[in-house]
Amino acid sequence: MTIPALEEAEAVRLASTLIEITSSVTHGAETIDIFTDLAQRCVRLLPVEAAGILLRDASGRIQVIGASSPSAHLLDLFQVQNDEGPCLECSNTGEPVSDEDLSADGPWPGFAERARVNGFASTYALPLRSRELTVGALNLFATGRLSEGQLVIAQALADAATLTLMQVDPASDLHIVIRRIHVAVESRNTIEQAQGMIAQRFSLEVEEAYIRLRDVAHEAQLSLYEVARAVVTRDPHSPVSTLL
Amino acid sequence: MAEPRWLEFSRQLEDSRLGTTTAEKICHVAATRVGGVAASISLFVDHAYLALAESGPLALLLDEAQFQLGDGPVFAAQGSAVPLIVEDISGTDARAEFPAFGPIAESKNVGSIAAFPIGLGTAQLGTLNVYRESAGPLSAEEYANGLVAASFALSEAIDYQAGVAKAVSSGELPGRFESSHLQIAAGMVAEALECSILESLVRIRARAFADSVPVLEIAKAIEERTLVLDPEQQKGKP
Repeated sequence: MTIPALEEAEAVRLASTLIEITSSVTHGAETIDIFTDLAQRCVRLLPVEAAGILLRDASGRIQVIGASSPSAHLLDLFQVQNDEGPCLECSNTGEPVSDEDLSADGPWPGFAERARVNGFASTYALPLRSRELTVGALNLFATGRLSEGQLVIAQALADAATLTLMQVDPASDLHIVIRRIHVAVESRNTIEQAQGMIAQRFSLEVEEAYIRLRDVAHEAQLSLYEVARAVVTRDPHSPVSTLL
Repeated sequence: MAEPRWLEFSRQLEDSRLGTTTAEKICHVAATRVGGVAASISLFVDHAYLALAESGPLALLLDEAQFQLGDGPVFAAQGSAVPLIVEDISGTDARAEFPAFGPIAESKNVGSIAAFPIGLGTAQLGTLNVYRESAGPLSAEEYANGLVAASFALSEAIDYQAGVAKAVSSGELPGRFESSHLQIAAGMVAEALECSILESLVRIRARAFADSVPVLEIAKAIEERTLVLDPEQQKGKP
């Protein structure tokens, strides 16, 4: 493949992002933040409109962990619920999968139609690999097509994020990946429970509630999970209660 | 790709000749797959502990000893979403942490104990406990199997709290309460009725039972705001 030269500014931005990701330390709940950040970083660095993350849990089921936008979240959920789509195939095979036409005659007609309705023209799924193990997939949604070089960048970001799952925990060097994915899934459950509470409290759509939580997290300089936890536990001491 | 663990677990559950109720069968399969000699499902309900099911007398004895003494991994693991593994029950750390229960477990030839949380996010119902003869860490496979067992136990635990007889096959058990729709609906009900997430899940289950429909259907209707749960509706036992 031909590799176009990166502008220095772009190269620096990419390198800093990789350093930021690999220097994140996952203890527990932070796992979900690293992966939702990954989705957002992809949108910032690459010509993609949205990104979503799926991880395989201990039982072998694929779980939607986070996404850069509600539409990507719903498209990932659609794949899991209907057992079809590029991201599922990628999670199962460990190989990158793409659909650059999203045509009705393609391998995933139901998914392709949903993606088109949401304004996307192409989708790419890249494996989240940790040593020999494929732990899930990164799903990218775009209005155009990505170059080979851009896909290499996306895979590098994905690899960096997955690497954080393998960081050795001083308490135990065993089953770390399994435990961290389990905690990420439980964190996501808490975020969804908080979404339901906020949707009910302010008569919002579920997606709007998510954006509200994310805005509060930004304002309070807390992670999305921390905000969700404060909402669900009705923590009176959290700054979240005054910001909502 | 190898068969997913939940499917293996589910098959073993169907084939298990040990145990009468589904919860008891889960304990037997969990003991086998996590390398234990006994297993139990203990719940924390209305500020009290209770053994929902156990694989046999040893598990019952060890659970009840913990409940009576107010000491043991069952208590230490309470409320956390992360499994608690006591690798050596006769070791110095465990002796300090479980001064009353430790010696009892040791006297019953238990070397290590694993307590896997039964819950969804911050809503925690109890633990699935596996008692092992040898001291030492769990293998990654055993650890993963424990989490799968706990996910099966979750379904049973919510059914129990809702006071309903189950009418689901073991293949449906895992993931029955774990979908996004359930979490969102539980949050909406918790806000509307000013109750906990756990109570909301139990109410949703009770309503699904009353209407003879899957819980997912009730959850989706709540999420789409075509169904509002009545605060006066029977919220289940116990």
